[in-house]
Amino acid sequence: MKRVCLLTGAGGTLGSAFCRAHAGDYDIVAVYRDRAPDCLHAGDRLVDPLNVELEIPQNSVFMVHAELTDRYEIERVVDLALARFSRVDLLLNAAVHSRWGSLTQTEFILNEAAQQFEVNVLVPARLAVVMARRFWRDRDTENRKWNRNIINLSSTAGHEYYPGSGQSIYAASKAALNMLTQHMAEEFGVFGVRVNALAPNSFPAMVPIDDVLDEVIKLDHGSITGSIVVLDQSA
Amino acid sequence: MPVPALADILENRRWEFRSEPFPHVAAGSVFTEPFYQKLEAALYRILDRGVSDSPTADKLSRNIPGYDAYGLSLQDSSCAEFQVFQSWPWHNMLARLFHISATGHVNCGLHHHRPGSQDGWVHNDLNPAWFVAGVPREEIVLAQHELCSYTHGITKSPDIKAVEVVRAVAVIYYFGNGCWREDEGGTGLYKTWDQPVRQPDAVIAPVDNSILIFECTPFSFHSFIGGNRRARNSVIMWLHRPKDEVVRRWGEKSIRGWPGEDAIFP
Repeated sequence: MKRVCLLTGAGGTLGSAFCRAHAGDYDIVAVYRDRAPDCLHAGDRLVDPLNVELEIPQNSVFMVHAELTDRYEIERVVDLALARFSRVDLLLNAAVHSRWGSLTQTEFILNEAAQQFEVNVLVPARLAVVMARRFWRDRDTENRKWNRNIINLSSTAGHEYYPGSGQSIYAASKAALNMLTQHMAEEFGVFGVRVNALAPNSFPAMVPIDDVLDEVIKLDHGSITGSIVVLDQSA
Repeated sequence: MPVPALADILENRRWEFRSEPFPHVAAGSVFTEPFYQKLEAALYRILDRGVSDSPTADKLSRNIPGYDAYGLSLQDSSCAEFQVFQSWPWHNMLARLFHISATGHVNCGLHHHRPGSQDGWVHNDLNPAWFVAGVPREEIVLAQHELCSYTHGITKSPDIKAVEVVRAVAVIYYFGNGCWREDEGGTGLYKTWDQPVRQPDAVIAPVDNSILIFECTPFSFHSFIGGNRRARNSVIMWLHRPKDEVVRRWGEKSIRGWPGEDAIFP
């Protein structure tokens, strides 16, 4: 039986790549805001251009358009995921708000600071909590059997200082996400759900996207919890 | 040069028929590598002729008013490699993808966007088109811009009659583009016509040897998105269908006429 993955930020680089690479291994609830992931949606199909009547086996993902900074949307997303697949085994928090610039020379960095923290820290926390309250909290044996877990997409910016990058608020939000992950691991561990963060350097520029995907799969199938897994080929 | 059989040159036989934001087909690795290399070599020969800022028969030239691209019709390219796009098997394959009774009228050309090209505009391609009448049914009828205005049906002389049809299927085949980065635009697909060009619901990346195909309907909203750091090239083509079929399905007002009367004959 396929594992069920609830994926946020599905239209981003990692989200799209995950959908394309792993729709055969996972039933994916792909949550996106601005742009749908570049992959087959439920309702799409594969065709042989020279034999359009031929039925070709295919994997597709279940798309959900949502604005996750609206907390009622988070509840709707969780309800839809559970209604569609009856469970969630992996919550992959990959939605990111990334704005870089000088604190002193621009307005937008501070103006959007709350939004960066909202998307990068509070949305993963809220989504995990709603998942726990709706489904995971009273299923500890089942959670351990299915090796259920959360992966928060962090960044090397959360623990490395990059001079001149303008990453101040973004880096602070990722540092917060790292600490959040470790505290969540303790609380969610009570009912058998592991929580880790994956902190790659910039991808695909510094780290190949396939390496990031491989690490996601390793974390999902592994046993560690409370870890910040760094992926940085420049180190 | 004989046109090769499609079964011999199509590499990918798993094309994606997608439903959002409107029905379209997308596929990568369309042709086999040897055939793709021939197409790319033909493109480079044409680019070597240079581009022209005024309409010129054998060069990529600015012949599309208001659109930041250079165009060249395939029959003017003098490149046999492109004949596959003007063949019955290719025409019928595209028509079958959307279960359309296409008429055999084909308008087909090359588009070349220089680096830093401006965005296009959101439109649906459900436009009228005119071809020279009287071509035998067994032949693909290509647009003959020097005899008949594709957009208004005005002919070069009174003894040339034009036949009106409507665009049915649009095709963009991307090639000769090299590496593509996510922030370099692409072809935007939209749910509605009034969306900003830079806020598409989906983007088709102009990856070499990939293709986008869609039925032209009142809802097939799409646009060129610029921001390209390098030149972008494509084969672009349209199949056509009888006008009365479109009128029955979507009403006469659904067919969007062209601005101005641009028939210019040499």
